[in-house]
Amino acid sequence: MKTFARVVSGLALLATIVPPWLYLSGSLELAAAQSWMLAATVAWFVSASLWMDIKRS
Amino acid sequence: MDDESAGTGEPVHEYEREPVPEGELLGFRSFLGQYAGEHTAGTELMIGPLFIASGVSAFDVVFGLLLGNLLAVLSWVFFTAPIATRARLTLYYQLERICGRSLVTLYNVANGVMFCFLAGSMVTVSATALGVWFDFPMPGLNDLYPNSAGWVLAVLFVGSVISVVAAYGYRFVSRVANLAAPWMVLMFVAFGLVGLRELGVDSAAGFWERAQDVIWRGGDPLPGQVKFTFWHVAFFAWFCNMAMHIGMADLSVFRYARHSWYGVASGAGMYLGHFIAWLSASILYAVQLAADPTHTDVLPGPLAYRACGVAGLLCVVIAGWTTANPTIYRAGLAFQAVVPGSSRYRVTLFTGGIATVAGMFPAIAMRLLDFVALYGMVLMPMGAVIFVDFWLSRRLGFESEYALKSGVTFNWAAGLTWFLTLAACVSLIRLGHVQIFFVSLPGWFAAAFLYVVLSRLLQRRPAEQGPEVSR
Repeated sequence: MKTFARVVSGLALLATIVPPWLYLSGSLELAAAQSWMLAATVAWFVSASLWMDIKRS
Repeated sequence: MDDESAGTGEPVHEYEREPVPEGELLGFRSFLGQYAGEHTAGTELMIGPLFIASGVSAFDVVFGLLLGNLLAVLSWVFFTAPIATRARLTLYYQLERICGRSLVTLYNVANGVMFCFLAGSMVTVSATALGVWFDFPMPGLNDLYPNSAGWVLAVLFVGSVISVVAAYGYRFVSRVANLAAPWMVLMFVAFGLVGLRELGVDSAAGFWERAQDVIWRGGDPLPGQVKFTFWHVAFFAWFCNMAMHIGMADLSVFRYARHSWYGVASGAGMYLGHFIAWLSASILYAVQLAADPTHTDVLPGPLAYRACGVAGLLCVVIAGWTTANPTIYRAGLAFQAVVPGSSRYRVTLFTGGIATVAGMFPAIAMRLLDFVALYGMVLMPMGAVIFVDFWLSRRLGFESEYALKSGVTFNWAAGLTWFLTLAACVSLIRLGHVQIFFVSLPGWFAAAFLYVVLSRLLQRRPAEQGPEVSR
């Protein structure tokens, strides 16, 4: 489960940053990029909360 | 560290009055994550636009930030971390040993007040996100007072939520902050990418030309703002966290480091937060100005929403919330140290209340560049006292940790150093017309010199001292 969650988290981070790159290069509309980023945001917080260590320095 | 256990009621040992033991030391990665997260905060969304409002040019902002951030990292590496990894004490306990209980209490009040205002600016940032949803009038660049009932209610709502959570559920927000950190860094990069496209940049080659002609054009600042040059940017980047490095607040952080070179971990915060995030936020503001040069309001909520939609708004809310929360908590700790028997819950609520009221006044957020410089200047002299006391006291013929050894509760050498240095800095600003961004550097040397002279004059001879307290 944790491994799956980590993979989803990695994909979510990619989906956060790739759409703005695509928008910058002219391959994606802004509205679509914003939708992808919102979906990626939800996916990140849900998946990362399943595996990320809460203890920090 | 101290904060992680806050609000849980768990008896976690935080080594507040003893050196951190070998077994509790942390690895390099812990510090990388901590600095990257803490310095990619809601206030970055204010600072970036304020650079443009200050009429900075592309060369000055880019290379000024590179230099200033490097100097900040070196300050952590060569000032803070070496003392932290040798003494392994919190700032407050180390100061208490040097200055005495009463003077540290005064320092805590000053620190707490500064934290309250800083948290207030973070509440302001988060409240601008509510303005997008509820469409009430929000403050302009030169507004000092709240300008609408909607704004007051928004700040009151955001501030109240943050305060209650800081008092009750600190650990929950701490966890959200940890979760949000990697995503938030990417969101800041996304702001910049979207903004660049809006400004007509579609390749790396075209960036510098647009940066000079459209984004950071230089010239006169906007009305009411100070003109920023290369040196303003460099000194601002160096000293905006002066309280933490040269002021030694991060002794409490690096006392857990295995080696002093772990100070380079601060580079993650400087170059992600204080370089990429500031430039990205700048770019968003440039988009706004390019669309309407008269629209000079610096409002992170609308700026982020236009670029990244709802995800951008969430970033503003979370960035403001997760950074205001520990700031309110730290202010509460500082005030609680003044009244040791007081309830942490009540003190945190009280502190949050002050921060909320401060957040209603846009003057702090809109003048954040000046406030941050003031914050560093006020706490800097005590950093000089710690530095001199730790490294130079024996060589220069006076006793280190004088309060601990003599039993005094107010070390007048340290106290006078603080007051006289601040008086000198204020005089330089008022009478010498030196801008606040530059006074802290000579101020540090003045404080170091004063502490040596005053300690030699005011310290009693060992024979006159009370019984020595073992370290």
